[in-house]
Amino acid sequence: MMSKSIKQYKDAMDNIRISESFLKRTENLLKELPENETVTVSSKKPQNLRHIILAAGLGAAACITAAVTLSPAMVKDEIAATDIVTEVTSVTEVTAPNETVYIDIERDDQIIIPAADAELLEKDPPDETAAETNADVTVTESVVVTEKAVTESVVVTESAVTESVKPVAEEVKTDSDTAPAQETAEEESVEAEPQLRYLYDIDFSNAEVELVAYINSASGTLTPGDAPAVDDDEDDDEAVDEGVSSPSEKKMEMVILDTEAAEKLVTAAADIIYSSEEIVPDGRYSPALFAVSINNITTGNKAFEIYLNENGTVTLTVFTNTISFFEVYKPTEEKFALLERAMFLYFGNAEEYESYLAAKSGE
Amino acid sequence: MHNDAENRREYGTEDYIRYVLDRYSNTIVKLSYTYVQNICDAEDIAQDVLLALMRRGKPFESDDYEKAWILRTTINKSKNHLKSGWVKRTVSFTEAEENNLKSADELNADEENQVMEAVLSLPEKYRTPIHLFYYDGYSINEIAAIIGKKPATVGTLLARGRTRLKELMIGGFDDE
Repeated sequence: MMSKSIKQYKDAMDNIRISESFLKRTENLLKELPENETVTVSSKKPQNLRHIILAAGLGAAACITAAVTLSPAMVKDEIAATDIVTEVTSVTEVTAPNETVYIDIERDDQIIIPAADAELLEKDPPDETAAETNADVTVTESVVVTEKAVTESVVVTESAVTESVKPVAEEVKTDSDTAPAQETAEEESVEAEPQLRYLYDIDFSNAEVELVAYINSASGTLTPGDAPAVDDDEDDDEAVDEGVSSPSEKKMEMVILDTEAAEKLVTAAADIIYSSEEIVPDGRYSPALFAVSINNITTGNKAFEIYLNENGTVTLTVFTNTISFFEVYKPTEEKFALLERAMFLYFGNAEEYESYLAAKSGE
Repeated sequence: MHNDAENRREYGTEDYIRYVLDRYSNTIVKLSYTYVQNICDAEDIAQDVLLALMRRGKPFESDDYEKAWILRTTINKSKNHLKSGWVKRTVSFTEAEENNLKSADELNADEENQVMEAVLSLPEKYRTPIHLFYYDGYSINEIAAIIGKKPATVGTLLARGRTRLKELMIGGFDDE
């Protein structure tokens, strides 16, 4: 006869015995952790985990911003694009297209987009721009470096990520036509494990988050990619979205954990996963549905950007001491929806989310 | 349940490690077990969680935050484990029982295990709140912080979870 008592559940759980060696083994393991490892979040994590974290967390939204940041030409409305960048962060990083160079991240686990995902990418383009993007978001992982970012984002890491993070320039492999300044880094990167920052590395006590939802509240429609983060104009008739919030660091960290998990689920579910491609500044970006930027409070500079894009991709931009780079990922539809919801509910609010869904569905 | 102020130790010290192990290891393993249903995997995950905790590199602002972080990380790592490519093998509950449970004579294991089996068969969204609430004794507010939902939502999930359990078990699930 089956018991009804919760006590029986507790008893059953209590009877699950932890192996005797577990506590001792774990205690020894923790004690033997190198001191620098205990204070450096990113130093010894598995590389694929790093990728996943990067992919997951920030992958979502950074595309549009990155596109705007790195190459205004990619965005049809250049004025709007500039506005976005200005609004999202206090650092304007708009860079002329000819200032952009490309470097590839050297990775052990090359990510290859599966045929199924490739098909998915080419489905349901919301508009011509999205169609262009869909066709393009497939290839290899890449990093886009801007000279502007090199000079302007130096401060970002210093307080947003306090522990020993090597400049990405030392961790990436440059293309043959990459700037000479990167060549030394390329040589060093052959054996060095990439030391990209994690979302975990965010100093949550010294960071703020902005949600930029590209919803035109006047028309109730999505206006991808051209909505300012903050409407500081007194005339708010054209206010697009007020979705700026300053969530507590707890929320921030939790959503990062969620995002990491979400991306891992995507990874496993699809066998493979996201595609990252060499992005060129000629309209390969999909308009963003909304973006989340994580800024350093002290400096006001960006540390990370997450873009969720109209074509269902997620773009993560990481700002390091020396460069900024971004990657584009293609989660499953379910995972993308999960990220949408998580981002909105953590960094925005329920009303925004409902408006967003309504606008997205065309209601 | 815990005298936090007295028990807390300086982050990163050996005392802290012992404190964390003493306070959280069982909770982590059991919570992870509700996902992976294999004690060996649950222990591995617990170890990963504790490693992540130490690698975090900075103390938590409060015990509540520390607890929420640890349990959230446990949940995420458990999910990740289940989704990982090399974990396709499923361990039957019977096998898990054989591996992990004590004598049935002493503990009326049959009935207990049926209850546990019913709980573990719940969808994750119900199972985790049920486990945290009934086994670990966390409040609805604490669970809300851990799983990132509103307290009202947690209450709803608990209620629905209990309803599911009543359907699964003859006579229902008595939470008294």
